[in-house]
Amino acid sequence: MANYVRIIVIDKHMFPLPPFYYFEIAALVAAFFVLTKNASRPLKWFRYFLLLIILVELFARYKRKILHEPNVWIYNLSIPLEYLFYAFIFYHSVKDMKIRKIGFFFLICYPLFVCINLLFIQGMSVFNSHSMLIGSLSMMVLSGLMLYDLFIRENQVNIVLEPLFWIASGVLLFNAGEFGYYLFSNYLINDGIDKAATFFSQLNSKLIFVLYSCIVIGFVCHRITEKYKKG
Amino acid sequence: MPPDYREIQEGITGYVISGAVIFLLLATLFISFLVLAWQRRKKLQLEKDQMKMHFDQELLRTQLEIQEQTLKTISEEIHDNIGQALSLAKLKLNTLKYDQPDLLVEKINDSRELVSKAIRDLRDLSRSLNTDSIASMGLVRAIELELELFRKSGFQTTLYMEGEIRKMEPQQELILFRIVQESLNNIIKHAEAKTIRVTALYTEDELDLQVEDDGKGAEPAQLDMEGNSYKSLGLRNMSNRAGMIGGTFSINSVPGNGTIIKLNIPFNKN
Repeated sequence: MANYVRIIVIDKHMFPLPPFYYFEIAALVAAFFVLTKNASRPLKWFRYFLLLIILVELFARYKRKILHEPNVWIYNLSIPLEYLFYAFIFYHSVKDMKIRKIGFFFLICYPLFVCINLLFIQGMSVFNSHSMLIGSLSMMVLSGLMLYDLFIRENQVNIVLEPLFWIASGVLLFNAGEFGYYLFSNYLINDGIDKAATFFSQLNSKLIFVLYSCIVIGFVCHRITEKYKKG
Repeated sequence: MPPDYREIQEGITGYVISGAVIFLLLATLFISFLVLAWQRRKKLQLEKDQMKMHFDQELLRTQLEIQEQTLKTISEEIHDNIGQALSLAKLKLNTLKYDQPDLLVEKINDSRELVSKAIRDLRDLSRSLNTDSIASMGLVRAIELELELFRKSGFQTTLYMEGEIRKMEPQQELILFRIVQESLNNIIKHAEAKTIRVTALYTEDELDLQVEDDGKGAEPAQLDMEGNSYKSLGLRNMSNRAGMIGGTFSINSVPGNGTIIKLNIPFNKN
């Protein structure tokens, strides 16, 4: 706990930003410059989503570093929003009706659960580990199903050049890595087990790199397939 | 740091690390498996498409060959029979002598006979085979008509059929007919035969077709194999086409003792 506090106190400036911010900014730049006007609607939504994520991350950092105020409530709201965005992307893109129903079920039930958890169970000022755990697990399932949906499509030219393959893979890998932490996050936060928290912080930045790299690759794949279609 | 706290910390850290590693590994394995399985499925699909394309091309070639053969038959028929009969009728009519009433009647009657024969031949010709008629009339009837043309050319022909006729896919019947037609053409070109016998044996599971002649037989060199296929292009084509519809092709020939071409088409494999 002491080490954890010390790290926060020493690192009190807004800048320089940790490396994972730059991956997010790179993904945003790619969303604006790599995606063509023919990009499907879900891909175009990434522009606004990534912009929102960066603004939220910067605001959370500002609250913590400059104002020295707790920022956990920002993450309690923004992380479920991220899950809902990815779930909506998958729901919109999936062709199999059964998988679509599962996506729809998540889109209805998860916000309800998050609200109940925020208002009645864990509250706004505590990290909502239950919401994150359920969200992370659901993301693994939904991204796995999205990949399966791409796999069973008859007219798939090349699965590896499909933007959604990369986005779903990124989401799957990211949440597979995060899930272990969320599973024990109650112990980690309550008991101040800094070694695991430090490990998680390192793992998290690597997973963010994986996620946003996959998203950028997905955008590039969209560009390649568009070029191929025109050619 | 108290030892029990350190133990808890290391235990939890171990769980977090193990959990993250296990889940990441599983996710990576899942993605890799999907990609590999997709690539394998795509490869199989591609092979299937190529086979279908090859089949369609071969079918088209078969149709063109049948059409070509039909045109050739019509051309020969017009030249050898209808044209001859009408020329002769015209000659007879041109040489009519009105001062010889007996000869006049005879020539008119002869001309009428010749014109009637030409009409009959034309009627026969109008039934000449095309790829659609094979599909509509069926394989056995198509072979029967083909043998009729051969009978006209002076061959003794027999069609022997046993069992209940089973309708096959039109493409299969077309290909089978073309193999039989090609076998018959080979008899005309090379066999110097007098009699031709075609046997069709229908059983529950398969069709056995046999084209037999009493000619001089094929040269042994023509029946040589190169690996699994015949050296002779004609035989190789027939064998490949039989294979395309799931059948087998074989040829038995002894010099001086005629040739037998055998086709076996199992119904359940189609």
